[in-house]
Amino acid sequence: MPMRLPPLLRFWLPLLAVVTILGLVHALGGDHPSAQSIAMALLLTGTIALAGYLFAVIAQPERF
Amino acid sequence: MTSFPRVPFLRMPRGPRHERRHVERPRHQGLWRRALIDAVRKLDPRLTVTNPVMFVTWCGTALCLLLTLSPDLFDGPDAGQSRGFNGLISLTLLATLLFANVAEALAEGRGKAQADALRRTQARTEARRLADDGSIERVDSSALRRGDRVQVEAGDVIPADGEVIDGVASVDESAITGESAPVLKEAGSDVAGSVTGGTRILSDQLTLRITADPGKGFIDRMIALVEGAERTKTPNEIALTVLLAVLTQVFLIAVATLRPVAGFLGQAPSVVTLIALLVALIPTTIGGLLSAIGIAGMDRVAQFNVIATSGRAVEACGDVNVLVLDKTGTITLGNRLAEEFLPVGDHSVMDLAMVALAASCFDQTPEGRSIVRLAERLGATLAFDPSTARGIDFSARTRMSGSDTPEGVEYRKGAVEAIKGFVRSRGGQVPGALDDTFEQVSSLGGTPLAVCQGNAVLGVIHLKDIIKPGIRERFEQLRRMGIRTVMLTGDNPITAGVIAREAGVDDFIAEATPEDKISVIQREQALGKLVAMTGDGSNDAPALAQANVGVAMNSGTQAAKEAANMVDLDSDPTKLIDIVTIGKQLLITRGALTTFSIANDVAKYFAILPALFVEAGLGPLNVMQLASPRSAVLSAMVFNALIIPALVPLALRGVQFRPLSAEQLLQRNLLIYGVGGLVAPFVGIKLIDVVVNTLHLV
Amino acid sequence: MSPWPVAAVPLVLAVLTAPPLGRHLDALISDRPQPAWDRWVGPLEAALMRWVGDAGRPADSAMGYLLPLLVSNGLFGLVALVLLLLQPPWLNPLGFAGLRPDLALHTTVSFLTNTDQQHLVPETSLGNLAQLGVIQFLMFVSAATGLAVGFAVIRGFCGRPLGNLHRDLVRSLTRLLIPGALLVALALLLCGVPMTLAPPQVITTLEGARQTLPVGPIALFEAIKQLGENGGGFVAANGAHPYENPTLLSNLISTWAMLAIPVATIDAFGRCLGNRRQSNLLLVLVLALLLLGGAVAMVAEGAGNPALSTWLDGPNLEGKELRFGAPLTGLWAAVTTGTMTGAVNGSLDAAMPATLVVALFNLFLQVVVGGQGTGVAYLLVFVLLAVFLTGLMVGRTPELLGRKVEKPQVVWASLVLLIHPLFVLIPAALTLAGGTALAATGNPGPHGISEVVYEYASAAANNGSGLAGLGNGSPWWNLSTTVSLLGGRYLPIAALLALADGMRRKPALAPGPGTLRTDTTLFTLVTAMVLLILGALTFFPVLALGPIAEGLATVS
Repeated sequence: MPMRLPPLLRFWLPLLAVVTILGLVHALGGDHPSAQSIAMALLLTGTIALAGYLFAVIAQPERF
Repeated sequence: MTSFPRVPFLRMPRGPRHERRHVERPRHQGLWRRALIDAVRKLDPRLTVTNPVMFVTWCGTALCLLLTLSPDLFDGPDAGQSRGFNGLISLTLLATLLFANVAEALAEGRGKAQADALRRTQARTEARRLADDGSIERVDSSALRRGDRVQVEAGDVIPADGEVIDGVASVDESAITGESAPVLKEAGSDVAGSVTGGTRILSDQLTLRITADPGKGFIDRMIALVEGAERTKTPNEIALTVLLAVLTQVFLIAVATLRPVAGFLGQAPSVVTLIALLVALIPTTIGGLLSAIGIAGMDRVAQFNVIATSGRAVEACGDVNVLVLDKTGTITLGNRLAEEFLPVGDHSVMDLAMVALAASCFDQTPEGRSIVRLAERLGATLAFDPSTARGIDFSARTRMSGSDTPEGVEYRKGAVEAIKGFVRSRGGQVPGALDDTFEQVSSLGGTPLAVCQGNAVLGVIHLKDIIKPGIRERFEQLRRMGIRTVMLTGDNPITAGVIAREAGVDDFIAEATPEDKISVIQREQALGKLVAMTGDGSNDAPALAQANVGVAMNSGTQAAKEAANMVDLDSDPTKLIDIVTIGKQLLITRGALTTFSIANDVAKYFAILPALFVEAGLGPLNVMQLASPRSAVLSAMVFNALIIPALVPLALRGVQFRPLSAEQLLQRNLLIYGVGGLVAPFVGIKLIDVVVNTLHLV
Repeated sequence: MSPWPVAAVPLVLAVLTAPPLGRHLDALISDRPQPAWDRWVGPLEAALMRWVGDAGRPADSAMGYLLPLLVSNGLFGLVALVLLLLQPPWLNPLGFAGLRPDLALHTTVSFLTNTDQQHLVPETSLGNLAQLGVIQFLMFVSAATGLAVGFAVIRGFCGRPLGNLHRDLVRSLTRLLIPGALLVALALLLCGVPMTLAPPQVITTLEGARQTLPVGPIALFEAIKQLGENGGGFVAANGAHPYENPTLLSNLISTWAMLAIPVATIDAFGRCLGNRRQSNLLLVLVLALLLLGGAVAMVAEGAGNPALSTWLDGPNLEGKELRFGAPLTGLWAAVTTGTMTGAVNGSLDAAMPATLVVALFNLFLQVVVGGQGTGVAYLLVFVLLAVFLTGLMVGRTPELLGRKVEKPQVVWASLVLLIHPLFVLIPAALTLAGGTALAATGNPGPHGISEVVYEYASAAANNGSGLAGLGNGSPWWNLSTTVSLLGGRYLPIAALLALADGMRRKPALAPGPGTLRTDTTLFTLVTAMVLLILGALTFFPVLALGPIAEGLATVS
């Protein structure tokens, strides 16, 4: 049963992800980020998203 | 490859049910092939997302595969990442995912095979619909609607679920029950009045009123259920999913923070080893097998020829505190037999036998026939010509039966109170000895039937109940499992008490009416208890709906089957006890694998952490003396992947249940799965490490 | 003299005082009449309740208990924050200025959450008004808040309504904390602890140097600090300072005071439940863990540092007060971390790695006797998790105290498991990612990791002790630990209340042969294993990289 996001989240989540990635790229690589720091920023964002997903499962296991 | 999925039946005391001839069960042909294809198909992340543990594993696998292609993604070329090592870790992760998927697909496959077999019975047929004016039109079975009337005759497949409104016929229901003996169907009867679409009529002709629209019939529901199309997580599964998600979250944080923490010492571990650590720690064993356990539980119930309407119902079985059982058919064999004639007053045994014979000559019930046999054995003969006499049928209101001769002699037998009333109404006297004899029979656990001729009471027939062999032991087991049994019977309290004592039930309700059933259930539920019961008649429907687990007999009415959450295709009330065992087994299997999974983590830490941080001086923690950091990580991952297929048989078959007390069960299972879960990975990882190094894999 | 008998005295004393104190607590929990108390403090309580404007009806939901708790704590915090920011001239003889905003916030939240982590040197930054009106006031009300939560959770698990927060706050102050603190203060006064509003004494030392010795109303301060599991010292040296803890006797009283209420609360739980076997087994469990940890710490400190064994024999005397000795400081370290007090009578930063492992483990588990009121609540959460994990293995939906453990209970209980990873591991990782500069530690090795992790663990567990090698006065430290303090206090409280309220709404089943009893030795062992495994699994990596790596380095 594939999960469906509420419309509000469908708009905000990608935006939030982009902001997180940009922020992390800046924090890790400064003004001239290397390929590694961009990759690391993506990995961290992914990890945060995964943690968010797990919180969603914990809060509403019936939906999954 | 053929022997593996053939999961044996539970080892349980086998009653006469098993001696019956069953039609061939659907063969599990191509089960493995289908499971493997399904396992690959289930790699779709949109399907994995319903299982938090496996979804995290999925993400880790994807990342590892990426790092195999591009090892320098995160740490740059100086970090010395090895593509080969990353590839090996990716393979173990992929194997973990596939093994879990295969387990689920195998469990589902057995249900699908059963559904296919059922679907074959559903081939479209032509039906003869009766129009209002009595004319017959030929329509496709899919065009039938609720309320239509159809005619079927010998050789036809019954086009849809319905109730008989006219005719008597024998029907072959083996397609759904597996029982080859034909069943008699006739109008007006509570139990024999309903027919199921897809069964075949063998003789004569029936007129039916259709009770289900196309796609909503009994077989359709059964197909949906065994196929798992409507499978939703059960309450306990949901609670367990939460716990597993929390543990996964805890380990995700612990592992993700490990890189900066170790980075403080200048020893940030590589992303691949961190993924390996994460997947090793999150409970993949139970996460991968959780849904397979649930599906297999449903399937085991189905193998007992019971169709459960939901996994929730099977799970509830494990929690049942009280079983409400009908005496007849469950605790005692269905038929009571005449044991003895006990005359009262100055009547002789022969007088009594003669009158009993006269009162029973029209009685076709097993009890009536046994009275005739006993009387004839004693040499009694019929005093009138039965063709001229009139039989009086038993009714629940009069509670007696008998025969009237043309000369006006009334022979009656029936409940003692009813006969007393009858005799008084005819101006007779009730001898005082009747009550003594009545109590004498009752105290022996028998059912007393008083016999009279006109206004004279002749005596009492002692009908004896035969308690099913082995039932006492079953109740003893149930008691040890903490389940109370309540027997319901229409007998008087004394008889009921004796039978209850003999059978070993905990409680009984005598002279019970259908309303008593529901009030017993409500009373127990008010105490927070879960109640299971069986029933077949229409008047059982409210009680079946009220009970937490209601098992309807397939021979029962449509109303009962609708109200129940399980239907027993063999119509064997004792099966309730087996179903309770399956429910318990389901919960135990889940608990055991969860405990095992979590206990495994201790060893995995000792394998991976020292390997990760040799330079931080954690070398002495390498208690298993694994050869190298890389082989340690790889061995832990291989163990983690292999433990899933190793436990698949256990997940599908279920942990063997023993009727022990909770304390004993806990102690036993803790020793096996808790302590075993602590020790097994130490041994397993060490062995795999030896193999890995012998093969020079890293 | 062997330290073992001396160490045993406070523990034995705490066990002996548990039944009478437990009976008293049970009367508060169960709202039984207490004629003498009702006569003497009843009118005062009634007046206070009228002033609050609360009729005293029990809350009908978790929110009904939580909301007034948050409001009252918010108000306490607001007043305290303003007073610390301003430090008006009253009762402030040395004229200390107001605190920096981040420090004022951290100090307020730290004392409000019963943590008492101090990123300041109290004797050189706080006047008597701040010490009495802010710090000591918060010590009383934060302990009362903890007790109230404990009461509510016990009631919920026993199947009763959660109760009324204001009533519980008031009564735990009037009937337990204030009289108890007065008694302990009296005892400490007799040991020589000062109780005065006089200005600091300035003396000339033997070497001729001038030294300022801060005195103040220390005896009462000390009493509620220990009895209420607060732990924040009147002076920075805390229980190692002779004015706070002058003698072996005061040390003994202080150690007992830390243990007395948490131990008694567990006993009260059994009385309230009507099953003292259950509470006794839980007591045995937590006391065994405490004894084990205490013994490890005592042995480790007594044996000394193996890295120095070439030059030095004997115990590890670095950072110890000689009047207590190394082993008793080890015991204190175990008790102060186990009971979430956080007071110290020596330097934890100089303790042996094994002692640090014990201390961190106690902080992570939060149930080795546990904090004021919250200890028993966390313990019940672990019992519930143990029931859920292993209870399935008897073939029934797990039951705790006759009530079924289902999804909502698992959600709330596991939320408690998540608090520490969220509020310890994540900020510690962020701080360590910033290197020694952000962490402000002079230890780049494993000990630096220990210091940082300990600081956040102490904050999130509402303990308050710390490894002093950290320059934790920076805004980063103040603000990041404030988050951990708040998260580690109010989120679990909310979860615990929701859990307790959910439990009490379930029908209770009488136990039968098929139900898993929790009041058995076997199940107590199971609980111990679940505690150790869940606690260890989460924190083994940081323990391994911190104190364990440090310990392995000192051995090799």
